[in-house]
Amino acid sequence: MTGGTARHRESGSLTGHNRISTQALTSVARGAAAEIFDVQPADVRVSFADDGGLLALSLSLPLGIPPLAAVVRDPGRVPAYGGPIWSRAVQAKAMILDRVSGLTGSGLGRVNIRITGVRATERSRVR
Amino acid sequence: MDGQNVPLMAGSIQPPIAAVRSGRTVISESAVAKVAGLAARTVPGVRTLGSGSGRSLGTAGVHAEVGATQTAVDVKLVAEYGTELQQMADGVRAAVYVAVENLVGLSVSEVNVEVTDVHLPDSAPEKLLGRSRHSAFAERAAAAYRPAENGGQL
Repeated sequence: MTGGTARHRESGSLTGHNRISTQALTSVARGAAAEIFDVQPADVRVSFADDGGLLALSLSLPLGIPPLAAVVRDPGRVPAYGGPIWSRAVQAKAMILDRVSGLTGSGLGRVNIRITGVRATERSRVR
Repeated sequence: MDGQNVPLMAGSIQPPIAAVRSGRTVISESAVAKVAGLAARTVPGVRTLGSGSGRSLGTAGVHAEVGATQTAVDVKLVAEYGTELQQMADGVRAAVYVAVENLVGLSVSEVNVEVTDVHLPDSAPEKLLGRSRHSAFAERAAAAYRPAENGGQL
């Protein structure tokens, strides 16, 4: 079977189209946001819109932050979580755009992020 | 043509096999779909065929249209999160082409691949044992809930 695959690929004779459903695109966006922001995929809401022919991806999600009492005791916890919320969101835009367009092959024009809340999560300080 | 080596008599025995050209071979759509489905499932990154919901047997998600010499196949599938979908879909197409052309013998006119959904790690409640310690999502979820649970149970 493998040999045959190579033969077909070389001749370039494979026809047919690939379709990625909205649901699949949504799941990928949810997974990417969950990965990058440290939240549950189920907490991420996703919608798509048009951005001059490209896809505009909008995400609303709560963000995982260190417990505030822990931050008072040890201000070093904030950088360990990736810095302030604002800069984390700014950095994440490019990362999510790369991840989603890399996985789905869709042309993403922009990523809008709306932080709807925070989740104080305790996690190990060592990585 | 017929009368060369076979006497044309009523009740005579059948002509030699080489001369037989009558009869049709029909390969049903479900046979082609099954071969295509098995091939599609071998491609890395394919989780299930169909549109999710755990059906993994039979020809769910695969539809074949069979003509006299050609067949066209449509495959719907759920991918695993983290695979490059276009690449995986091309892999599915190649696998279906090869399997159907080699095993069924029909020439394939096209294979359309639709990714209906992507399965995220831990989004399905299938492994409850140990809360899947290897997954980052589950780890954080467990960390968030643990204090309350420990207080209640221990």
